[in-house]
Amino acid sequence: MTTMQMSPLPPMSFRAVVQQPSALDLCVETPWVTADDLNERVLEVFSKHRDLTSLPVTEDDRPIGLISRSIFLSQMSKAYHKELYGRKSCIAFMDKDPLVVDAGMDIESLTFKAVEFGEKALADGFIITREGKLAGVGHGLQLMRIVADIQAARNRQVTHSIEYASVIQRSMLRTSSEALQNVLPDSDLVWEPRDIVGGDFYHFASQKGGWFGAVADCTGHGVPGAFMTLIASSSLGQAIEQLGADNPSQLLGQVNRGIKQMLGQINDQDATPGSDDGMDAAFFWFNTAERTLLFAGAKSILFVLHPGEEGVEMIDGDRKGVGYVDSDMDFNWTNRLVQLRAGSLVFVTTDGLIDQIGGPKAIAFGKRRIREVLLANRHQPSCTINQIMLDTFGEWQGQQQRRDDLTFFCFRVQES
Amino acid sequence: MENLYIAATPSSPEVNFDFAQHHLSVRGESYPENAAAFYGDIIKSLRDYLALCTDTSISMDIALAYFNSSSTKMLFNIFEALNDAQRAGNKITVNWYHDEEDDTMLEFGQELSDDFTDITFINHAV
Repeated sequence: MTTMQMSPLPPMSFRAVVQQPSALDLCVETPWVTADDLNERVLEVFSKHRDLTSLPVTEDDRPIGLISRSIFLSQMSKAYHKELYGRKSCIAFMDKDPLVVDAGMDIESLTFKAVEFGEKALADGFIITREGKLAGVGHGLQLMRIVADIQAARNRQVTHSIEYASVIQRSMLRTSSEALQNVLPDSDLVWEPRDIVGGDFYHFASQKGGWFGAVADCTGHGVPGAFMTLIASSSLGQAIEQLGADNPSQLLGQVNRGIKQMLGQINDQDATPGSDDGMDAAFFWFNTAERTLLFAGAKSILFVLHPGEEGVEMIDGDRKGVGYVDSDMDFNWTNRLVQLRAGSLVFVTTDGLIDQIGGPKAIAFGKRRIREVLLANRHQPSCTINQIMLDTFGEWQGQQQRRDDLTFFCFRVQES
Repeated sequence: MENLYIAATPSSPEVNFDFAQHHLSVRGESYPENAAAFYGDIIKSLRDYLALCTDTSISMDIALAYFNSSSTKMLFNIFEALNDAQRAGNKITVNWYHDEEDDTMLEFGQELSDDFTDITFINHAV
């Protein structure tokens, strides 16, 4: 009986060689026996190596089986077995069909193979060979450890990548929130992507005579949603440069064409386009002198509270999304003129707030609860209203998972 | 035609299309990462089935607590297929189930029934 020697590492190189982990990384040197060895020899080896869970058996250096410590010892401890089998070949209690893998096998294939092979490959371990010759054994626990490490490293890599994407997405939004704070002191915006990056975005721009605002929810969330926000937002930016910011309907139309062209969403008879994505959005232009809000909505809704009035006015946009294969290239969203007064409160949200499941019956938050929060806190500053909305939403969500990205915007018309 | 059954997951609904009994149902929640991939085959087998139907009474039960915007698009595609089948001479009944306090689902059902007027649409508040 000898102990296997691992082949020496290649000479040091100035270039670090990053290798994919393989079965070799799990390979542990092991004692072994040959088919000519007797069971009493095996007993000796197991007694000497207390940690040895299994012992490979070779013939001309090639593995032919694996002796499991627990099976072997329980057999040998039976009455007279030591006397009967002690002087017989060790292949008597050997598993003739253990899992044997090449040292070069990658960890993923090895894992599938081990699981497919069943419990014994994980409990007793498996044999690792190099060019068919015994190199060592691998153990289930070590395999699990390396799989967990690989998984953690992959997750870390993906998360880091998305976290950096979030830096880019937030930078894109920052200029807008700064523009907003300059023109509207009593205003507040909540933007909470569900998964680090998200499909919601907003855009604000101050121009002569007023300011423009957009709150939009692109299809999807996470990475694909964030891609969509870049497309939609840059399309909106170009549209404002071309057309100015005081006609929300025209801007929705322009963004619709922009998305459809950029994603090749042309309803063709013979070819189905790949992308059927788009966005829901509220676009609005506030005329400072007139205190009017010109609103064009694509599947969105505006909540308005006028000072001295009891109820909440709800102004629906058109029920047509922007982009998407089935939206016409020249669809015309309606401009709705809302007369505001000093002190009027306006609230707009994406469906992440309205549709979130929660409460005792696990149903949607709904518009009614939004109205209740607005009415109960109508005299508070916008930022307090939004904070209370967020807290109420959080309580509603409770233990439920967040379903979607969340964006909402609140502002109050100033006394001049 | 073979029936279609897909078990529910936290983010995708149970789909049970019993084509033999002309009884179809979708229930649960729908926000799969790739809605087009999830619904693609479902809509295809629905369309294949409907193409074989003539003068048939077909019922579709829908009980969804939540669906995201890309699933909404897919629901529209399902309704379009049903509407086409009604026009081709079948009799389609949609049972729309929602919690009695869930205005969001109630409203969505109303929108669908406004858009697809050929289908018989029955609202069930439970």
